[in-house]
Amino acid sequence: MIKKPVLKARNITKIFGKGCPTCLDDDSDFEGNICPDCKSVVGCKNISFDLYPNEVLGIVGESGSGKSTLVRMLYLDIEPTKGEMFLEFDGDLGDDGFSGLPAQAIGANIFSAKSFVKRHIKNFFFGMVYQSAQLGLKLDVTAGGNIVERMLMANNRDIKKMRARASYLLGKTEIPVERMDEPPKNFSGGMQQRVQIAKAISNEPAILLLDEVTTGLDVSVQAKVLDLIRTLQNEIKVSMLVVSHDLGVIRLLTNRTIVMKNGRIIESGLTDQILEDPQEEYTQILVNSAL
Amino acid sequence: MVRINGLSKVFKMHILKGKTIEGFKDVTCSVKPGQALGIKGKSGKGKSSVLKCIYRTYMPSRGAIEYDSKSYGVIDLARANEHEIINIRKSEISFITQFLHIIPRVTAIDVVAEPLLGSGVGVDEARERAAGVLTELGIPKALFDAFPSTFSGGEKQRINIARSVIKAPRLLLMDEPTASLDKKSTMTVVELLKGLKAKGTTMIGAFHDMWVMEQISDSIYEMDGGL
Ligand SMILES: Nc1ncnc2c1ncn2[C@@H]1O[C@H](COP(=O)(O)OP(=O)(O)OP(=O)(O)O)[C@@H](O)[C@H]1O
Ligand SMILES: Nc1ncnc2c1ncn2[C@@H]1O[C@H](COP(=O)(O)OP(=O)(O)OP(=O)(O)O)[C@@H](O)[C@H]1O
Ligand SMILES: [Mg+2]
Ligand SMILES: [Mg+2]
Ligand SMILES: [Zn+2]
Repeated sequence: MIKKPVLKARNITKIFGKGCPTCLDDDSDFEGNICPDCKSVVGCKNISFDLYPNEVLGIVGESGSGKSTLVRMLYLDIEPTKGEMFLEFDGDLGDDGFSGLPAQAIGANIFSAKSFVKRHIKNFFFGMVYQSAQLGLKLDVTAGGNIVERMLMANNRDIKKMRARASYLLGKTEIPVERMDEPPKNFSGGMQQRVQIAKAISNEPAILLLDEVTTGLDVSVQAKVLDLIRTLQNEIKVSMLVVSHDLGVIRLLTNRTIVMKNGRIIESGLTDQILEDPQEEYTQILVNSAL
Repeated sequence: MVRINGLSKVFKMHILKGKTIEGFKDVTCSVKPGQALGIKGKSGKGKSSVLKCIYRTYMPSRGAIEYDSKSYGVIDLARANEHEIINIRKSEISFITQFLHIIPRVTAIDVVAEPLLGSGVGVDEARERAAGVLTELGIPKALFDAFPSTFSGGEKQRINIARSVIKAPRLLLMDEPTASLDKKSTMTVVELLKGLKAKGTTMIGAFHDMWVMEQISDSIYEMDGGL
């Protein structure tokens, strides 16, 4: 009845700096996110969790707690210092003939896979919306071009079909189709985020990673972006990891939530339970300092 | 259907220097399939907390909540894992909370229809059924396509009720469902709940309004411990 996780993260650690036994040992612990011995910065430490099919999992935590570092490791943008990630997918990724996982990825730690396997996973399996549009989009290339480029990486070849899909996705994300051939540098922050979302879902990913999608947007635009994500949730059934320090966003979108501090997982549980009956001191402070 | 045994909840408030607050203590009660249990007690006795423990919004501190689930057989909701709870919430148990959590940019009818969409009902059918429940609750048609953020307290609460009952849950938890309603809407809600019960929904609810409690409940549990 309960399906197998689509993603398993196991003991993922990222140390910025040279590292030493104190910060690298799974068992060692210290306060804060600076190693007392080698002064390296702990981005993430011993992060383990499961993401289930169709699940929306939230990650909350104050600034600098390692949320972006974590999703960028999962997206294979940066390499972890240690740790493992396993992916599993049994099903069809939509009817456009996009394939699932390459054989080499089944049962293997993706972090140590060959680079062509990683590339495949990045292009077919994941979609990513970055905290800043500069990372997620080529701001000088047209909005449509950004999306088509993503689809090219997922082995699409038919330009006409891709443009049609790009315009469909922009429509879905409420970007006026006549602005498809404009570069996103002309767009507002909220529009750029929506182009990023259109790009991220263009390859019908199994997992969508969303890093602070609504931060910095004004409230009405925020609502638009949230509405879009909720629609996607109902329509395309992807699994999502939603990173946000906005508890309202977490409540609205997620069923389960992980709380991070200083690169570590402090607490995890059902989202309403985390918000209404938090067990750990840090979570109680976080919840009580929100409005 | 539900057997609660020695259930207690203590809140440990780290932010108040580790102070503990007793939610409620040693609650033992049960409800048979298709019946309704009313929970009674003065303010602060822990009625809402018991309901939240059953739904697992609160993590029970001690005791058991045995529930005869459709998906898993007998399961202790106090100890079930998160995924079991999520599945049970999706398909068996629903909770009429005291207030509606507003979903931005979603119209009243879609707020109500949404739980059906998640279980595979088509958009048109879901909206049709949502319209049915909203009509039953006396929400004028003109409000169906409006945003609940602009609604009155009573209207919002009726949207909340409609959303919670649209799937005719096996077990319905209710926390003061009629508290913000006028006499007329209270009567409609009572009728709706009676209808649901007649169709087999088991219920556990806290009510301030004794008349409502007596209309709906087959048995009553009084919370008198604690404070
Ligand atoms: N390339 C890097 N080199 C050194 N330190 C880094 C690097 N990237 C991130 N860090 C540090 O790692 C920690 C975690 O950063 P991260 O960006 O993951 O935080 P975050 O939780 O996403 O915060 P925010 O909510 O502000 O986005 C921070 O202390 C940050 O300064
Ligand atoms: N999340 C919480 N954190 C800390 N204490 C809580 C929490 N929820 C409830 N309590 C405490 O538990 C006790 C019982 O509260 P509860 O809301 O369950 O009572 P109630 O019987 O529903 O009251 P009312 O009739 O006023 O709604 C109160 O002392 C309350 O302050
Ligand atoms: Mg970040
Ligand atoms: Mg109460
Ligand atoms: Zn070190």
